Amino acid sequence: MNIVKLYFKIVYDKKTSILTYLVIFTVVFGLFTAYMQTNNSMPDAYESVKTNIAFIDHDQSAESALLKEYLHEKTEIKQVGSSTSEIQDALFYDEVDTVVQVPKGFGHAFRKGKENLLDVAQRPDSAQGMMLKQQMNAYLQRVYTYQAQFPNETLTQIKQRADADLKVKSKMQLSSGERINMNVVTRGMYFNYMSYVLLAIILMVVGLTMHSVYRSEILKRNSVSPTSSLHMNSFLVLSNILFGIIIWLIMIVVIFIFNGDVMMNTSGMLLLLNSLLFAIMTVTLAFMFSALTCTVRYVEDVMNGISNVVSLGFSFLGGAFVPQHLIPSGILTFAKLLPSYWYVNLNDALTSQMQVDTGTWTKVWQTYGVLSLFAVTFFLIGLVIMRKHRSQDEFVDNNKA
Amino acid sequence: MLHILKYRAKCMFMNRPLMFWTLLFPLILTTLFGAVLRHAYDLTTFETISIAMIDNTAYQKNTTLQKTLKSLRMEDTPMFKVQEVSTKKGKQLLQKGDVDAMITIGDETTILVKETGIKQTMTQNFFDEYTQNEHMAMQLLAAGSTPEQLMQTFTNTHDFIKTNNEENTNLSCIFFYTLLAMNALFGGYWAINSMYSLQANQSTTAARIAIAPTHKGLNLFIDLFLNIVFQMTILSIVFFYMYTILQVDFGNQLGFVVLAIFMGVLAGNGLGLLIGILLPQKDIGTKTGVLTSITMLGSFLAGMMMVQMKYLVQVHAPILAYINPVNMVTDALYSLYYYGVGERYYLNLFSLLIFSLLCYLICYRSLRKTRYQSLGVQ
Repeated sequence: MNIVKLYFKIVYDKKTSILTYLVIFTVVFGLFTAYMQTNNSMPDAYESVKTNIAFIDHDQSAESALLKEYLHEKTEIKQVGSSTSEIQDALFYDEVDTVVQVPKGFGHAFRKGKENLLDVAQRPDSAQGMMLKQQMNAYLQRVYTYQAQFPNETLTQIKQRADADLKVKSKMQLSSGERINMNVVTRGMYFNYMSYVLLAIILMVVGLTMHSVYRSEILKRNSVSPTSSLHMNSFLVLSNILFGIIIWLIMIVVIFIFNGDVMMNTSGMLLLLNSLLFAIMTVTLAFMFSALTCTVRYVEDVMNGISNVVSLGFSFLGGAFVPQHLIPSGILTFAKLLPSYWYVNLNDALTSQMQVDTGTWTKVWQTYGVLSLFAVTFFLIGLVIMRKHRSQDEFVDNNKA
Repeated sequence: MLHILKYRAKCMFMNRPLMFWTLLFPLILTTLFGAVLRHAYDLTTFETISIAMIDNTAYQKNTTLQKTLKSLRMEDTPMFKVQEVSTKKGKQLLQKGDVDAMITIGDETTILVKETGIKQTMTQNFFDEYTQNEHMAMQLLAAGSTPEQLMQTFTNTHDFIKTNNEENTNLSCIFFYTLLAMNALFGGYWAINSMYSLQANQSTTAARIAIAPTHKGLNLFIDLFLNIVFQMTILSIVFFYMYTILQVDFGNQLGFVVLAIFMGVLAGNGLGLLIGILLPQKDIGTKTGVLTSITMLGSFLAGMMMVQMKYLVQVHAPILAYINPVNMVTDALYSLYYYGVGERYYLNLFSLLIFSLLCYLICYRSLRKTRYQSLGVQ
């Protein structure tokens, strides 16, 4: 138990780094969850996809009001400000897909049947943008046709004719099956981002702690103590795993606070187990890196560097930050060598459906097996390297750096 | 002065951990970004929608619909790929995901889908419009139009829309801009190192330098000069790598890009000095940790890990955008790419200048006429 107490005393020194990552991640995720839940909803019944647009009316005529009313039914009109830069920023960051600007004199020109009236700015090759353009044109064509056929009718009467057409609709039906709700999607994102935080914290803390214990003079002092190396190393391994589990538990408490309602089911439990295995695998990875770097000077800088490079690299390549379906296939093939890929792949499979089917169960066992294999491999590599160093007495006194 | 310059430059160059953080780490990240993110946010162009049409009597009689489904195109791509099947087969295809929708023509058109999505919405729009046009034709015939007039109405269509597709909408550029900005702020590591080497209460080296006959201001000036030169050289290498090898788009105003990067280096240097001075009793590891945390948080809020975060901060918490130096550099580069040189670019540069001046002013006031009663340096 003295070894465990010593271990956690050393870990306590790193509390600033640990807390920084945890607090920032928790706060940012909390804000993000709140934003996603107020701005997005996944309905239970079928609802057509509504394109986000900005509508700027410089004409303020009856015709432009008519168009706006139509677009109100078909799209989500967002207020993005009135300045050019606010509108263009909204378009760039995909806050809106299309910006419709009604120029002055639109109503008059429309009645005369002039073409190319509306200024529509959109991202190139946007499928939603194409659909919206076609819808707007079709509606304006309908109104124009009725105006031409019934020139003595008022715009209100024309609108009634067009609305009578629009009431004729297809009947949309959703096939049976449970829908994915936004909490499930947020849960999936949390577990994916969690891999980055686990890697960053555990690699740095475990690596530095192991370095502190395996410093040359400490090791030599311990070797003449009555505590056997086997006893000491066993407790160190247990302490590492315990630390990994503590960090994992803290992160699990956070997800239960934000999204506890979607955790109490089969896929929630499978995600928990997946993340636990990932945390233990990360501990063994940290152990391997500490063994690889035990003879270097500037240990803190080296472990910082490894922690950042590996955590960011694994997370980007594995699909934790960018969805796997957006990553080029060649890169994804390489990413299969990384444990993050398998972890994220299973998370995505569990997020994409409410029930766990047979195919997903196979993926579950496969992923657990792969992560366990990674953990064992990293641990064994670390042991072999440590044994080699010890037999060659290569440990350097890093205080002399 | 040249003597001090030469040996300080040598000391900096031999500092391998710092060379890693400021040169190798950004290059590794840039390579990662280039591999994963370069085409990640390319818009998916329209893909043909696969549908199952139930081969009933109503559909078999509606040859106009059959011809329309086969001939309809969206830009140059066929809009629909039609499979004429039985109801049972159609449901099977839908469940397996081989079709996006199953359509039954009758008195009322029914569309069965498995999920809500753009393809399902486009299918719905097409069939809605088809039946609405039928309804309109009936209204026009009832009002006295002849079939010839009706044909003319449906063929002589107008295009009321003038499309202006935005150029330069590659969202993945933001990742590279934040990376450059983060790297610019990492120049603060050199400044922290300089303070460690120059402030007499922080290291034995600094205590020795303090009693040397050289002017303290000169030592500081040389270090700042070298910090900026080193960091600009490193950033030029990273920028060159991004621009030529990875072909990241920075727009056409490369001179202004370099100016924005230079202002970022000044800001990073200032921030490093500030941290070095405000935390004199902390070891160098803690100070670099603080700089890393501030920079990574700033990078996250500027859109490094989630590109829309930059926009969310800009809209909902603009004050954060104005005080975050990483965001200032990122926004300057973004405004050059998207808008060209203009008010927004100059505003960001001005903000960076104010930020840098504030940092340097605080450092100057702290360092000026510093005296030590006792130097118990460890």
